[in-house]
Amino acid sequence: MTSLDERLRHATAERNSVSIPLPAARTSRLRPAILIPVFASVLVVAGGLLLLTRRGGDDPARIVVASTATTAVEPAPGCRFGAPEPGCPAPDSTTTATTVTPTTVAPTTVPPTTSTLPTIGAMSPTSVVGVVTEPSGFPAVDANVWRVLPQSGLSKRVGPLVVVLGERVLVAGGSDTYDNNVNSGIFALADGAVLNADGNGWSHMAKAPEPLGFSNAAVWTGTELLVLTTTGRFLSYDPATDRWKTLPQPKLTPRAFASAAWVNGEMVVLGGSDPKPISDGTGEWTPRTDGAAYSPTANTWRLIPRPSLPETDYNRGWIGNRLWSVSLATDGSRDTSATARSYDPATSSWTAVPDAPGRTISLAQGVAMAADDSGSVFEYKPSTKTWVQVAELHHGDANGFGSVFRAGERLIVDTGSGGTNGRFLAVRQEAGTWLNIGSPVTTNEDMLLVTESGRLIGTNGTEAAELSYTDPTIGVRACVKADFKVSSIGDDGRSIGMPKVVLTNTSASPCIVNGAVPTGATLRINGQWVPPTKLDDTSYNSESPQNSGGLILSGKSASVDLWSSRLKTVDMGKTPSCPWSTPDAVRFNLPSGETIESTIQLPEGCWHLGPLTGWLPQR
Amino acid sequence: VYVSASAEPTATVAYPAPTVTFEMFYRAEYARVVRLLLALTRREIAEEIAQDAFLAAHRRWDSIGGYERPDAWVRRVALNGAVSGARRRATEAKLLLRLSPRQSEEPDWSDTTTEVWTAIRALPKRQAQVAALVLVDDRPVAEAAAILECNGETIRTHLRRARIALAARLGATNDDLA
Repeated sequence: MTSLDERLRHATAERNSVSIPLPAARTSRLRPAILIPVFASVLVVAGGLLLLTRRGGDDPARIVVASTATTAVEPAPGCRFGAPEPGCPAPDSTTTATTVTPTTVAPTTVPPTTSTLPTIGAMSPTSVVGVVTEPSGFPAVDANVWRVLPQSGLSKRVGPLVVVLGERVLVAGGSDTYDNNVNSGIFALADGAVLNADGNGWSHMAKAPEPLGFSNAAVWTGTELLVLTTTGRFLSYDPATDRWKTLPQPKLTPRAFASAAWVNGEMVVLGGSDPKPISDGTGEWTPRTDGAAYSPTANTWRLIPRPSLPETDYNRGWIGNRLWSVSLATDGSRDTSATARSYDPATSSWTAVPDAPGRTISLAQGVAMAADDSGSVFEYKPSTKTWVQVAELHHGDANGFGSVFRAGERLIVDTGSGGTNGRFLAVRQEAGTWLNIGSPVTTNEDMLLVTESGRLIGTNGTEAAELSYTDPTIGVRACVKADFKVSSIGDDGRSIGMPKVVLTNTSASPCIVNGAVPTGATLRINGQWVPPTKLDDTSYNSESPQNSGGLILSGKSASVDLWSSRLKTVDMGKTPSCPWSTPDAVRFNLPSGETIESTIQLPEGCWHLGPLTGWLPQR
Repeated sequence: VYVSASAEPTATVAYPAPTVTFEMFYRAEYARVVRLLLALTRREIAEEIAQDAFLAAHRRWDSIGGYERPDAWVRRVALNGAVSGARRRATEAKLLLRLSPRQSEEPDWSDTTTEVWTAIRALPKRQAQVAALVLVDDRPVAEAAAILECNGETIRTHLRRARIALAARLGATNDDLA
């Protein structure tokens, strides 16, 4: 019998020998007229009409290598750069230089004339993009968006220690590399900073006595931070005095990825694994199955007898005073069920948890959640020792369930970055309505934290953002009916006249209507010119894809975010010449039953991208 | 500095962050990303998924280009695409629409390699991703954790389970348990 590693090596070697040239050309393509019936039949097989339709609208471009003399040549619809194919122009055979060029080809799945996707500017006679409308008196503009907080001033890092201190957030340590030896003295970091309770500034911390690296065990006692480092050193940090202290070490072998919690006045540390693989890149991931508890009052450690931690559990986390261990059963091709048991360090005993009603259990923020295949979300109630359904999860084709936890009245689901609805979804339990709240910061290393009062903060150590949240049950986004009269767009995409939008408040209460206009534009409402009032740049920051509603420009692409829908992106062909990076915001009252007509005057030479950037449709 | 840490036979590439262009990134990483996906899906789909991932990167290159590891980002997008049933179906539909003669023929895998790919593709999604990254692409656990946005312990757990399942399916000894 051969070994698994031998077979893997064989397959890997064979794989590495495969030549993968950069895409250069296609050999044939059917004409669009023939594609349509073919596409229809494919839909039945694929069962993905909506997805394919969207893809057809969203992904018109491909990246190919073009062999051209000096510049890339736009291929004919249905053609790509490179070798000749029937109906496509032949490339210049005398060229030598190569360029990599994103090319635009006609959508193959849906003819543009039948697309129902909202597009913007020159691509469409009407524009539908995100704008917030809210009832009078409700906090405006910054609702349901990530408020960008000041940068920490810390360098970019991997896996910093991030701890919530009441309303503050502490970030310390981490590593500046992804390599195996992330915790070596070369890469591990010792500095840190604390985000103030108001979120408007950071205080830099004194450096830790040794580099902290990542995967340390840490708890917040309410007055100080306790850290058992992966080298076995035990430290405390007092944010009031900005001082680190060295405390007695436990009689435990050093460990990484240990589970730690503040339980009944003690710091309990359980499990983990040998830290050598991340300290110097050697050794095995040998599990640690023992634990200890530290009492600040007595300043001593006690060993926890025989916790018998399972070595192969899937997930661990603290729910109240108990450590949960989750195991998964599999039929060989998929996980079939999740079972959990909980450990009480006070009695060193394990207790079975009632079977979860699904294949996934998430442990985060002290809450155990489960989800089944139908999208139902359950929360474990320790008081009754039962699983209670709390929401229905409709997360599009997000890739997997991810983690879920509570932030005040909200459930927060992290679907991972593979979901077409964005990374995070939030829900207010009573309403059962899911809302895309985007990712907090723009890098892929962000961590999501909940403060004691339920504020939601995301940070990667360097950048940070806080979610401003509006109760979706009020129905604020259904109070305005918009009628679009935008037709004054020339063939070249420039605005000829003054685009017009008619808004009617169809609700019984007054609305505050928020909009964004490009810098330098002027707005007229019911014949009166209204100077744009700068309310909050971050609300419509065109560089922040985490915005819920707003316009995002990137080079030649313009995207709009329709709240809970995915981004709609079109290629405008040219980069707009207007300064869109910090559009001005406007807002005005719209009494119940009244109608207004707004027009917008763009500066000379601007590319038209829609009046007021449009209005959110009724939901 | 963006450093490609791929264990593939091509040389490691280091780019000064301020000057790395999408073109450099694409040229350095495209084949590697396709190879990563070969363990999870057939070649033409792997190339389509890689294209989608790089296209997404291109659209956001202003921000992604500034990441410490844009290669990790594009791998995560590609890996998610490779194990997403809906996305794969869509990709297959796109390929169907083109009705080649296809440019990218499936490599002539040996029986042993075919069995390994089949076994990996039968794993649960996350295990399959981890197997492709760590067992086939030979990436460190910490890097796999960074790419898949989860912690190292989770990766190791998936890895243990993947090895057990693969050994059982392939009738091979699991050196990890020796």
